[in-house]
Amino acid sequence: MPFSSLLASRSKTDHAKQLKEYFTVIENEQDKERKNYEDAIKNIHKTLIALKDGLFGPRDGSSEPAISDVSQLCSGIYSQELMTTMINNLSRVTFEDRKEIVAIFNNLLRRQVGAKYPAVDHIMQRPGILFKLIEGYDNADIALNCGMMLRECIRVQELADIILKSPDFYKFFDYVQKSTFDIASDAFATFKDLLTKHKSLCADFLERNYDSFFNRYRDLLNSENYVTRRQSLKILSTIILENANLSILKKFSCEIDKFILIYGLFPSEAFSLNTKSGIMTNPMTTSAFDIYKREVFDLFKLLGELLLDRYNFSVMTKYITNTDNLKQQMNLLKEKSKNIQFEAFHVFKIFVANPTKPKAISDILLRNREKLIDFLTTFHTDRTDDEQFNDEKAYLIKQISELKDTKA
Amino acid sequence: MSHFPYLKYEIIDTCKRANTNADENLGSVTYLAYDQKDNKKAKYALKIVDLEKLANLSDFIKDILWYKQLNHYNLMSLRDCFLIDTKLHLVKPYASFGSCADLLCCHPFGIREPLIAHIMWQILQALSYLQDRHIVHRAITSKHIFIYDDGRILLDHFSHCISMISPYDGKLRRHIHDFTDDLKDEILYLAPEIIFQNADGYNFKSDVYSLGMVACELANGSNTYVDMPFGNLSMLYAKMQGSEPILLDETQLTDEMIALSDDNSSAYVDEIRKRRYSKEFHSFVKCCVSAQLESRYSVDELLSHPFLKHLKKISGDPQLIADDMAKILGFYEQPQPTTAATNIDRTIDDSNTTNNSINLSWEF
Repeated sequence: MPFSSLLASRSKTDHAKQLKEYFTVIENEQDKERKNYEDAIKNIHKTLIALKDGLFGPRDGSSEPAISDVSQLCSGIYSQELMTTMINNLSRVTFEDRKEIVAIFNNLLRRQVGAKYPAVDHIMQRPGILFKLIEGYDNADIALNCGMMLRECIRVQELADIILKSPDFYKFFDYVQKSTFDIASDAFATFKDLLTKHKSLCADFLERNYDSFFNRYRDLLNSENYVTRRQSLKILSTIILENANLSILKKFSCEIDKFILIYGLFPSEAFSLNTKSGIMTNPMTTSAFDIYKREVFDLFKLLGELLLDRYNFSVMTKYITNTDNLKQQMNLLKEKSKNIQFEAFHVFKIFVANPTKPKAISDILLRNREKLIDFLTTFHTDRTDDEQFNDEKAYLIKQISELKDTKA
Repeated sequence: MSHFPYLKYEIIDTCKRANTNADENLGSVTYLAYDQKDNKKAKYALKIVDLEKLANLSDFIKDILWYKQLNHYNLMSLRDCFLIDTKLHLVKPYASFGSCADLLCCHPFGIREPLIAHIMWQILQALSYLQDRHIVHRAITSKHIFIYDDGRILLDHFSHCISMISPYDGKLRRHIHDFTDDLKDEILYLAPEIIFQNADGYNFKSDVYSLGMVACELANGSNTYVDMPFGNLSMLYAKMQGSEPILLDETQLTDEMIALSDDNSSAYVDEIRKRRYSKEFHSFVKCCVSAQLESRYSVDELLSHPFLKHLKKISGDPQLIADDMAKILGFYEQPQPTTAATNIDRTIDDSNTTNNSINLSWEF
């Protein structure tokens, strides 16, 4: 491309400065002539292409961009505040140029100088850039472009932190419910990245904002919109299941079953052995099932640090001790959508597997014991080749059938 | 005619399509429809996808969002996209001639060279657009190329699109190595270097190979590698060995081919004996499907190939292209819509009122 080669010979800083000037023209929309505006739009296109070629290298792949040229170009972009300017003018440029801006923006975010990421530092000092991108979901023309740039930003923990700590985060509860399918879907992808990308950050956020978050999240799970229900349940199960690996839990349960089989023959000696090992704490508990239950819980506690992630643990335990959550999941279990049923099963199973269920949770499960057993027995029987699911289902049926009545 | 109060579109007919994979159609039905507010009654293809039938929603949605990122005269667009219950409604322009695969169903011995030239020319415009945006299509097959009655050729199916800009470091790559299982759907058309999966990787020239495969299919009447023995094994072996598809005309007909032919293929052999493609067309195909990347042309080089000289000449005027195309398409009948109007009501009623609801009430 002769044009790009011609422009490349000039100083790279001039591109950024020129672009800034052209954007200033289209920003002052009211007091300008039509021809100036159209000329500026054309010049913006040309300069964006030159900027992009400068960052990416020529399109024909003939060479890599020179390091010094790229550094100069990037410095010019930052000094001219072009990131802010490009985002502010996203709705004014053409369809193709919006994509050029996305490509430039995302390329800048990935650029590393030594151990530092200049673009990340730049945005951290100007969090308005993030909030402006979130606002983009309100404009159908630029929503998807902003979504792409947002998800690129969320890749960086410090930037995700800024969004999670701002009230703008709660706008996503509205964006994911938009009637426009593609915008809502894009918002869901961004929403999911915010809640799952950085485990410790997300866990911390959910812990501190448990009530405000989950009160609004229940509305998503009750939405009229099928995709909203299905996608939000999927994100929830990802959050909750982060630290509840039932297959590992089950493996130890199986070991304990063998243990109990032997102990079952000699209850008093079983009691003695437990005190010897230092595990048993309650001398009033004598039945085999109580020993089994306590063993499971002790193993859960002791091995949790080693075997299970600790992220979201407190959020999970808080979630599964709330009766409204159990009721909602049990209702989602009998949704007409099989996919929603299946996702709800994965959340529901944690309520049942919890070794320290509150009485209120146990009471609900007990009241519905027969119905649950019948329901689970016939639940998704077509998944014959999903071994883990069938194991989990059998485990739940066993757990529910062995629930004990506890007196008030 | 069916009419539903919640539908913005009036459904006229069911679209019966040939050569579409069963799994691609899983959970979806395509109808011919028009916008009720449009006085011109322009026709659209209304595809209804049951999201309940899809195991993974995120990937499917990602595929749909490609339509919103691409905007070119020769790329399929998505006019409308909305959800009713579990059914996603996708509205695309209606291709009266269907796909190239549909055209070949009506013309099993192949289609004429001028039409192929037009198809190649217009798809190359789309590829050039994609290449400028660093996108490799990877699904250029006869069933993804649609022909409109105004002469426009549209390339569809972007779910296999991949960007040459790395998702890991944001840099532009010269070669990529990505391969996903669902690429196997297009394996008959994939370039050898994609199948090799070696250190060299692949790039835009792989789309050129697929385009050449389509050219051969349109000329010969069937894909070069279709129905080879032992499933895909012989086909993969042939591609690995560096075989290149050829145009079958009288210049390529050998005594051995005649001797091997039987009563079933004698009509095809006669057809081959009757036709003769231009040496420009032979050269074009050779430039597309060369197993050696050095010999294979880039998109820009193909646009200047002598085979497309006539089209390059008239490319400045879209009306000339449309007129030329109208002349050529006059040879080909438009597929007549099937009269299945009575079945539509029943089909839609069945799909929309299917109920898996469980008669169970919990005690809380």
